[in-house]
Amino acid sequence: MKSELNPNEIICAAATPPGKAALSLIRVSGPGAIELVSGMAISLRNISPGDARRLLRDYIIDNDGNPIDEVTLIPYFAPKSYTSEEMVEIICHGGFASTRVIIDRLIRLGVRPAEPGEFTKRAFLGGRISLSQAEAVAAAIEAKSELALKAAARNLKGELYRKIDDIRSTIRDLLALIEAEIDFSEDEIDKTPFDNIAGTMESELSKSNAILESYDFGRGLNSGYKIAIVGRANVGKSSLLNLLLRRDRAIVTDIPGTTRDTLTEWIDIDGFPILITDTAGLRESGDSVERIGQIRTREEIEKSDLALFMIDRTAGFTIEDKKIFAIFDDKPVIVLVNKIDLESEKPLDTSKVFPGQEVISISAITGAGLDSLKNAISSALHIDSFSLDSAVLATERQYRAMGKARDTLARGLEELRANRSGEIVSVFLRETLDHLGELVGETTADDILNKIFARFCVGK
Amino acid sequence: MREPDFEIIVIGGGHAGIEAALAAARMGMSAAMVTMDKNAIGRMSCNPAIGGLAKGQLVREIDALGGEMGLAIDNTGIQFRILNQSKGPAVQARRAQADREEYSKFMSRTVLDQSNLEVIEGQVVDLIIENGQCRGVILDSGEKIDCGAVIVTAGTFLNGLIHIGLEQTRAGRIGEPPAIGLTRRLLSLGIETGRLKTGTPPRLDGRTIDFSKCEIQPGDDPPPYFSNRTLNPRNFEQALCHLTYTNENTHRIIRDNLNSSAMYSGKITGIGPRYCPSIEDKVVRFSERPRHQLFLEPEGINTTEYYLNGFSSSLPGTIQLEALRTVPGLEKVEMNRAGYAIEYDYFPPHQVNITMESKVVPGLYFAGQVNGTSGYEEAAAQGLMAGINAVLKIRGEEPFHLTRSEAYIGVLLDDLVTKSTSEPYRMFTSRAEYRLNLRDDNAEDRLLEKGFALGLVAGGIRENFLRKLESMAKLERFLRDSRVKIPDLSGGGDSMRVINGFEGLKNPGIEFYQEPIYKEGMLRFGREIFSMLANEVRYDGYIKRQNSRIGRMRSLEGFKIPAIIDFSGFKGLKKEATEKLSRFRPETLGQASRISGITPGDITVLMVYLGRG
Repeated sequence: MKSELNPNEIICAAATPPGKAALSLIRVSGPGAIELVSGMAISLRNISPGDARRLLRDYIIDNDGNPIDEVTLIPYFAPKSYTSEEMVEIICHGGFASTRVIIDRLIRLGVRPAEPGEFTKRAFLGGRISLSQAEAVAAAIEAKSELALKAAARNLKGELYRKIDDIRSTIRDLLALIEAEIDFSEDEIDKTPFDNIAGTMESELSKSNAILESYDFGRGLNSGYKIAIVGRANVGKSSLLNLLLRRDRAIVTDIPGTTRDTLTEWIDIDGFPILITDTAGLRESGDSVERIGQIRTREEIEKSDLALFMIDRTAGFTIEDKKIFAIFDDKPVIVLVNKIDLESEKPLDTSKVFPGQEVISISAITGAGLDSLKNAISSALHIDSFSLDSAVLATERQYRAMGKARDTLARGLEELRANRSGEIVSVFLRETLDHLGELVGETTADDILNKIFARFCVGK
Repeated sequence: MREPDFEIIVIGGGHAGIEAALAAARMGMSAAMVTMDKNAIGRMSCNPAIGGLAKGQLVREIDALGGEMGLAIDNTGIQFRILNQSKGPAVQARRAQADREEYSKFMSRTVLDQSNLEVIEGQVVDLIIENGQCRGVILDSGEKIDCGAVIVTAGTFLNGLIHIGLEQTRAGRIGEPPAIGLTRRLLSLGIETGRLKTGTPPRLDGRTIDFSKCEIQPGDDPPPYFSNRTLNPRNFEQALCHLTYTNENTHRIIRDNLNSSAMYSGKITGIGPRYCPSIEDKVVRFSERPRHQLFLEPEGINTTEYYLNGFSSSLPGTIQLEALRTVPGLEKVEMNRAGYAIEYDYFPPHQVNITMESKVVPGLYFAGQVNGTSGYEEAAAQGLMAGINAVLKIRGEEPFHLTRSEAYIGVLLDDLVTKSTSEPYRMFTSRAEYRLNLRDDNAEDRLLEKGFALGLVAGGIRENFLRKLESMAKLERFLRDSRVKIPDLSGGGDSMRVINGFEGLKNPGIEFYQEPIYKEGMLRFGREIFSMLANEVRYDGYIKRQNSRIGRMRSLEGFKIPAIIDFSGFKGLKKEATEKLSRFRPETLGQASRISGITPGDITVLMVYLGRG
C-alpha cells in the first residue's frame, strides 16, 4: 500500500505532455499555492478572491528579480478549482526548457513534484471530479493504466495502447484454447496444433521486442538525453553552449558571456529535453592533458548519449586534440570544427583526419552551422524519426512491465518447447497478461471462460 | 425460554443437505433434516455421475474434510476413470458413473443411521423469526420446530417450472411437487430471488439401443476411488459407457421444430448454463459442426435405463424421439422419459457471507443450488461448509474459512460471494488461480488436519495419512541417495549427466516406468506415494512462480470491512462501485477487489476511508 501523501503540501506538475508544443501548462495546487507562486510572479501579490480565474500576464522572475519567461497566470481559490484546493495555473512557452526552468523555480520555493495521479486523487477526494472519472483516478493512483491515460492525454488513443492490447488479446485467445483443452477435454474441442501455439507465441514475442525497442524515445522524451561538449580550452565550447542556450528562445535573460557557474544546461531540440554539459574541467597544463581532467572528462563522456568533440579550425588538429579524440572509444561523436568565421592558415582536410566521421563546421560566435549541428544531434539521437504517433514506452515503469511481459512470454515458450503441459504454459501466459494488464487494464479468469464459451461447443 | 427441539435444521435432503446435516450431527449437534421424501435422499436428479474436471477435486476435498460424497460413490460407482490423463496431474480428475438407485440408498442409509440426526418427512412452508434471527421452521402440517440455525438446501424445488415443448408443469424434479411457500417467506424477509434455467436429456430404454454401432468408453483399471476411507477394493465389473454422434438429419429435425422448443419460443425467461447447452443451442450456435457427440451412460446395474448425456432438450417428446432415431444405434430407441428444461428460483449468493450465512437473516444459511450453483459436487461442498459454520456459530467459535489458495472449496465460496451469477455456477480448474497446488493428489495434505480439528475426520484416518507423509519422506531420502542419468542439455548432443533421483523427478524427459530406481521406489512405497511426491517436485518451481504472481493481493484478505457501513458516504467512489459494494457487502478488501467493476482505485478509496475511520 502506498504511503499516505500529506494533503497539505503544495504540489506541482506539468499538465501538458513534454515535446513540441506552442504552450505548456503547469499546475500548482495546495493551501497557500497563490502566495507561494507570488514569490516568483509579482502579479499574484495582493490578489483577492475577486481575481479568481482571471488571466494575469506576467513574468516569472528569478531570485534576483530578473525575468525568466513570459507567462500567463490563472489563480483559483478553494474550492473552485480542479482539485478543489487553492491553485495557480501557469501557461508558459511550449517546449521542454521553459517548463523545466519554471518547475525548478517552484521546487526551490518549496513545492513538491506531484506523484503520478496525485492531482486527480486530490480532485476526487475533494469530490471535484465526476464519478464517471473514477476509473481514470484508479489508474492514476495505482499508476497502472498510466499509459492509457497518457495516450488519451496525447489525444491519440494510443498507438502503443493499441499494440499492447493487440498482443494481450492474442494471448487471451491462445489461453482460451489451452484452457478449453484442460477444462473441456470431454467436449468437442478441436485440439490446437503445437506449431500454432508456438508460432503465435513467437510472433507475439517479436512484437513485444519491437515495443521494448521504442523505450529510448520515450525515455528521451521524459528524462532527456545527455550531450557532452569536449575539447581543449579556448576552442569555443562555452561559446557554443551559450549559442545553444541563446537560440532556445524560452530563456530570455541569458546573455552571452555571463553564463552561470554550472557547466550543464537544459536545451530543447525538436521538443526533446537535452542536458548539455561543457566539460570545462578539462584543462591543459604544459603540453600534456592532465590526468585528472582526463578522468573527469571520461566520466562525462561515459554518462552521455552523445559527445560533441570540438576543435579550433585555426589551430588545426593538434596533438592534444588527438589525445582527447582517442578517449571516445565507441561513444557516438560529432566532430565540430569551430571558428569558421576566422581566417585559417592551416587548411584542414577533415575527411582525412576523421575518416567516416560526421564533421560539422560552425561558428559559435556568428551561429553559422548551428542548424546543421541541431540536425546532426537530432539524427544521432534518432529524434528525427520520432513522432508522437509512434508506439513508445515513455516511462521506466512501463518499460519494466513490458520487459517482464516479454521475459515471461519467452519463458512460457521455452516451457512449451520443453513439452511442459498446458497447465504449466498457462502459468506463464497468465503472468504475461498480468504484466500487460499493468499497462492497459486488468484481465479476469471470466474473460477466458467467456472466450471459451463463445468459441467452442462445450457441454456434453 | 424452552430448549429448542434441535440445534440445527437442514431443509432438503439433496447433496448439499446431506453434507450439512451429517457434518452438524458428527460435530455433536442435534440436527434434523426435513425432506419431502425419505426415499429421495441423495437422489441424482441429473446425470448419474460424480466427479469430473475440477469437480473431482471438490469431491476429494470434501472427503479430506470428512464429508460423505466420496465414500458414497466409491460404494455405488459402476465405472471409475481418471480424466485428462494426457495432461499434467494438476488438472487430472476422477469421475465415476454411479448406480443412481444404489447411490441414493447408500446416502439414505447413512443419514438415517447417523446418530444425533433425525429425518422428518414434510415440507417447510415458513420460518420462525425472532428478533431478526432465524429460530425454526413451520411445516405444511402446521408443526413448529425450534432450532438455533436453519440451513436451506432446497435445490431447484423453489417455484420450479418444468418445460417439455410448450407444456409447463409446476414441479421440483419431475414427478415431485415444488416448494412455493418458503420462497414467499424469504422474499418478505427482504431476500432477493433470481431465476435460473437448466436442462436435462432424455432417459432411454437400453434394450432398444444397438450398442454395436457405438464407440466404447471403458473404465480405468484399477478403479480410481475417491475416498481415503475406501480401503479395500470392491469386487465388481466396471460398466461401459458408449459414444455416438448426431448427424445432419438430426440437426434438420431440430431446426425445423425450434418454434416448439420451450427455450426458443420464448417460454423460458431463466438463463441457462453455457457449459451445458441444449441440443437446440448446439445446432443453432454451432451450425457449422456436422455432428455432436452423445454419451450413453448407464443408470445402474439393475436397470436398463440410459442417460443420454449431450442431448439436453426442451423440445416436445415426439420431436426428441424423432430426432434421436436418426442417430446411429438409436434407430429403434424408446424413451423412458423425455428431456426437459426446468426454471427455478435461487437466491443470488451475494446475500450470504463466506460462511454461507444470510447477511439479511442471521441464523439462516443457504447451500447448494439455491445459491445459483450447478452440480452435485458444488452443492455438497457448500452444504459441508454451511453445516460446519452453523455449528461453530452456535458454539460461539470462529468461522471455518478456506482461502482460494487452499482449496477449490475456497474458490467456490469466494466466487459465490463476490460474483454475480448470470448462469448456474460450475467449477472449472481455470477459475482457480492456485490451480497447480489444488490437486487431486494432495487434497489430504491440504485439508485433512483441518477436518480432524473440526472433529469430522476419525483418528484412524488421520494416522493413515500421517503414515503416508512418513512414506513420502522415506521415498524422498531413498531417491536422494540414488542416482539417475538424464540428458545433459547444456552439453548438447547426446551426452548424459548423473544426478540424484530426487532432483531427477523435476526432469520431464524421464520416463519413470523405465528407470530402475523409480520402479523400485514405486514398488517399495506404492504408486500413490510415488506420484504424490513426484507431483510435488514437478510443480514446485511453478507453484512458487504462480504464488508470487498472486501474492501481491493477499494483504487485502486480512483487511476487514465492517458489516454495517454506508458506502454512499464515500466521496470518490464511482457510482458503479458504490452500488456493487452496497449490494455485495464484501467482508474483506480481498473480496471487494474481486467484485467485477471494482477497480484498484476504488480499493484505494476504501483503504483511505476505512483507515481514517
